[in-house]
Amino acid sequence: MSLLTFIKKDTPVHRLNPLTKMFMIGILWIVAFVSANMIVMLAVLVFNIIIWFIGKIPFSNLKILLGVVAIVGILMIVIQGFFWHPTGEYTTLFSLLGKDFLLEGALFGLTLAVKLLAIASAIPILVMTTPVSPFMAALAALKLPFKFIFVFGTAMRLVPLVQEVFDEIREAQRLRGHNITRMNLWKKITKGYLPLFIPLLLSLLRKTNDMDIAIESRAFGAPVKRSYLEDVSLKGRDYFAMIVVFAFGAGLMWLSSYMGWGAGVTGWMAPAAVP
Amino acid sequence: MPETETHNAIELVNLTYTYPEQDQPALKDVTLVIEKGEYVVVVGPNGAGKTTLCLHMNGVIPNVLGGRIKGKSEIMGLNTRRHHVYDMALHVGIVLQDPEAQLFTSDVRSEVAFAAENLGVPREEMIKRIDWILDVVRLKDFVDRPPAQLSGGQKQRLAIASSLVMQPNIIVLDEPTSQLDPIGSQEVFSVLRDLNKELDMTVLISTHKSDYAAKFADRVVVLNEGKIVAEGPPENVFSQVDLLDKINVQVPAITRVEWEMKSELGITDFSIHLDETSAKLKKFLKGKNIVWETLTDQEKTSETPALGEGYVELDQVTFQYPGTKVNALQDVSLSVGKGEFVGIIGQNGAGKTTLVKNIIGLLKPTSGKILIDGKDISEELVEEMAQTIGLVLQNPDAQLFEMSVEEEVAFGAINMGFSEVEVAEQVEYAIAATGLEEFKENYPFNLSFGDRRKLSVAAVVSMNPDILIFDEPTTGQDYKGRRELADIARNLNERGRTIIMITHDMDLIAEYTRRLIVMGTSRILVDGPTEEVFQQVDLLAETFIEPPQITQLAQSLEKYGVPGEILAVEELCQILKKEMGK
Repeated sequence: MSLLTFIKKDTPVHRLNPLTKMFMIGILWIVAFVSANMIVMLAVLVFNIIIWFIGKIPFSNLKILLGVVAIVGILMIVIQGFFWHPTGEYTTLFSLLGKDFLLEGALFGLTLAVKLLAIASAIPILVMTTPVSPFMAALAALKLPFKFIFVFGTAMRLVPLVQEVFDEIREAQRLRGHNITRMNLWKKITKGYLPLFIPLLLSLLRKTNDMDIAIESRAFGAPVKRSYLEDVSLKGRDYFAMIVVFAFGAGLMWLSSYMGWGAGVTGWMAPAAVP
Repeated sequence: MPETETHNAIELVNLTYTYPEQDQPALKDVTLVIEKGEYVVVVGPNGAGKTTLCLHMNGVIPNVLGGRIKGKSEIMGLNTRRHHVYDMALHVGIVLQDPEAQLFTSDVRSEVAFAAENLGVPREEMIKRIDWILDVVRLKDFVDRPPAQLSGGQKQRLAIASSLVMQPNIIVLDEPTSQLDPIGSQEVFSVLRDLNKELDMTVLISTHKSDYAAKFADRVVVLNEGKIVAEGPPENVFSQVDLLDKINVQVPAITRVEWEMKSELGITDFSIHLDETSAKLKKFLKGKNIVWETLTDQEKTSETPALGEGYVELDQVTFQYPGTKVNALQDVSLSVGKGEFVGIIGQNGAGKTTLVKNIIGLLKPTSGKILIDGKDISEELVEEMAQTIGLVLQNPDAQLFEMSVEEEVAFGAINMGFSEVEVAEQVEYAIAATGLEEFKENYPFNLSFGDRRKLSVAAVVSMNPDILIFDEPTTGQDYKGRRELADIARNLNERGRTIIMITHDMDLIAEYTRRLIVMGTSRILVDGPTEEVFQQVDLLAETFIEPPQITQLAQSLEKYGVPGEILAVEELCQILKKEMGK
């Protein structure tokens, strides 16, 4: 889950207000959603990678992302290659079991894959550079109800919490000679998992019960206007970043309208779309 | 708000409470009135009802946990049955026993801020409070750390800070120091004393640590089986030695010395403060000079164990947790002989648990070597070493999953590949060694916490390891429970096992171990015979440890010839009585 966990660093991206980062992602998403122009989408992708670079987001995460998108992308290319319905001219690359594989379909699949990558690669810019608490404060600044925000924040905490408890249990059972990695699948199912998952379940039940008491004991839901420790006011750098991203997004939108939105097939490869 | 100026802070009258789906009440006819600004400590064995009592104070009982309640329960003039927990939270802060379950945000600062934010404390004021409270609980350098990366003691202090930030009228703490080092514990009691004095905060603490109860409380309440069995100023309560012994509540060592010496000293009132007892004894010893050297020289040669002879051998072990830049262990060299009983003490976060996890192979040293019985363990798997070396972890509940005690104990033995006959033998041995015979068929989670801890020991013993490591066996245990566990360790030691025990309980260390290793931040500060180590008061203070009370008392009497390395009440009394017999 390292793709979604905050990594503490001191970079210009980390210092930005979470609201600014949300705004940035919003703009980038709109562009990537609206335009199917390959050049525009690649521009969004490159822009994201530059921000990854500035924010020192480990590129090992990009690899994970690329891995996921590659699988989805190949599927899309194959499916679109075979099942895409041509509206104009088309090029058959080869046939399999009487079904034609079309170049235009494959390119359309590729476009979708790049779109997906451009959209997905924007997420870590917010999630991996923003601790949970300022994130929650930012959501509150957007006037979302705190109970909703709290559930969201707690859910973010839940993954590492379950992981912690599970690690502790696995450690305890290893100390009793229980080595699940050395078991075959059948043994894992019949003998391997029970000693790990029963204590996990019981521990989590107990912990959530205690957590409930702790949360209530710390005045959660008190009938007063909640205050926030995190300062979510916008600074000069935030305005600067927003202007840059807005200009970039507007420029790309103009480029799309100039070069073609990629409607129908894909604007970038249809010379007719360029006036 | 129905608050009036005349009400008490806490007013429980004839309160009887029964948990849902239980027949027996957890609290029986409890009447407890606490005035504003009082500092009250509740003591009592495990299962006495201390936690239940604490949970009444902010309405978690009955509002969250349900159950049947009879009698009056008013906190700051508010009836807990009619007010929601968040209403009560404006007046009462509560700190629970298990620190981990009450930390749920992403970093220390936001953890502390949570309650203040809920109460709508203005940001500037909040920052001031957070700075102040983090300073008080010694967590200033950790503001950005995720709570999960703190040591047990640090988590406990964070939980306390998270509640104190509300600056409530009443603060209720349920065993807030069970995982803290001695000076850390003392600091908690003392910080609460300051808050109590400066802000007139009413303090209610439940604890097993009678020494601190005696030192800090205005009033001590003794609970047993859901009833208040004694109550009053600490000197009155702790003077009832027979009663406290009967219900297994620890009597402060100095009080016990006076009680043992009552006829010799001709006293009927017993003191609870070290300096008072010391003064009484000094008066008595004036002009006398105890000659004991010859006796102890003799004893020393017969009793002092030879320091380690290479059964467990650490050579310049350094360890760094991945992703950190600080060494959690720095050049640690150590040698433990077969059959030794070694204690390890040191402040929270000193690296004690890291050390034993390296010894057992759960962690691998970044540099340096570890040999067990002459064999380098760097390539060994934990699972394979379990037959040689066993570790009993702090939390018994992280491993229990079988339907009966017997099966639970057998699990490890079966994993070791023992034959059926061997498994049966080992299980019988382990169950007998931990005194769990009568619970053989029981479902593990139906056992008391103390018995579950014994079960976790049995689960390791059944693998027949030569070396047994106990990591904080005393956490959350009452006086009886900790002695029972230490007795189990001693029995196993007498049957040839090598024992290493990590604990913050200095009385236990003094009584059970012959050799003591003191850890400071990531390194070993001193290693030697227990009585000698406790002489190094300044060095111990460096790692937030102070010698047991009885040793401190003896040290204060050194001028009169009393040996400063005394570790047990009986030892001191014997010397004093002998002197009186002259």
